Amino acid sequence: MIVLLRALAHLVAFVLLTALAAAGLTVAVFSLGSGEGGFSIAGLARLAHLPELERLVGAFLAALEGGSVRSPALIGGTIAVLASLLLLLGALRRPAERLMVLDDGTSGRLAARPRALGQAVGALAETARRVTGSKVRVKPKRRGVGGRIEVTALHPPTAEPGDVEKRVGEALGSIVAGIRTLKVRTRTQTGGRGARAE
Amino acid sequence: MPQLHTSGPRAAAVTPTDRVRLAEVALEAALKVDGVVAPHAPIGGGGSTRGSGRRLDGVSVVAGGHERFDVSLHLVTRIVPLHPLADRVRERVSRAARRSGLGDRLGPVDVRIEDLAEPPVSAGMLEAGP
Repeated sequence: MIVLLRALAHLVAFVLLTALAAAGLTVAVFSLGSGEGGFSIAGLARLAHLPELERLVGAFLAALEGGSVRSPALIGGTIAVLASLLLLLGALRRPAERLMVLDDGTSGRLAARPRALGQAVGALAETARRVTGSKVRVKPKRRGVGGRIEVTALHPPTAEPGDVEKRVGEALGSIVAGIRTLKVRTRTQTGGRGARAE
Repeated sequence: MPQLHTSGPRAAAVTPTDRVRLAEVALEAALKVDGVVAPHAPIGGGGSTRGSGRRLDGVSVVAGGHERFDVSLHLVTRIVPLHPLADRVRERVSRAARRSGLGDRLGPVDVRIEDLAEPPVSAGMLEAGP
């Protein structure tokens, strides 16, 4: 639910910001002209049919001020308020980070935060000889135990990819030893320094 | 030592329940394990135990049926093999609970690695401790 609200909030924010930027640019361009002619602020207002819009909503706004609101307007206002609250919730609330459950037995469960696990895996991958950096993606299963870790080890062009992959596998083996539910996939890539854990 | 937060004037006078005692014992035992650095301070209130006017961060203890409590430890650790670490934590917690007379109240012990201690250690330090 929160994930959906976040996506919606991002979409709305993107659309509104784009529209605002476009409107600002249009107003700025029309501000270059002067007078009441076509290329001026007054001309832009006419182009956008603002006088007609004012006539259209003017009466409604006056009625709203007077307190005589009809039920459709009331319902519309309530829906708008609720939609705003939901968008705010989506924009401000962070979704709970999914845990990587590594083992779940009668003695208890072993789990780790994906970010922490990614950092650990990245740090270990970079201890392998000839590795200059790493990119790690930790993907816990949606339900149940286990998941996948994708490690991209960066190495200089002079290094043998197969050798680097083997060394990274050995380095990672120590932290994930005995965890059969975890699939670790290692790839190599020619690249410079820099590490990133996602 | 576990981070114990007391609140209210009656905090010192209240006798801790088995649940709170178990939380204290479990956390204290877990922190003695090599590889465990600190309890993880929760942000939203989860991962702490409240009771008897106290709050204990990094451990949550809930009734699990059959008069036992499920213990969940939220820990900051060094980069160590995770499976052996969890086994050592469980073993130590179990031993400490028995010593405190709470052995028959201890249920499953969940171990959650919440964060890593900085800076990350090298692979040379990955040997499992006792």
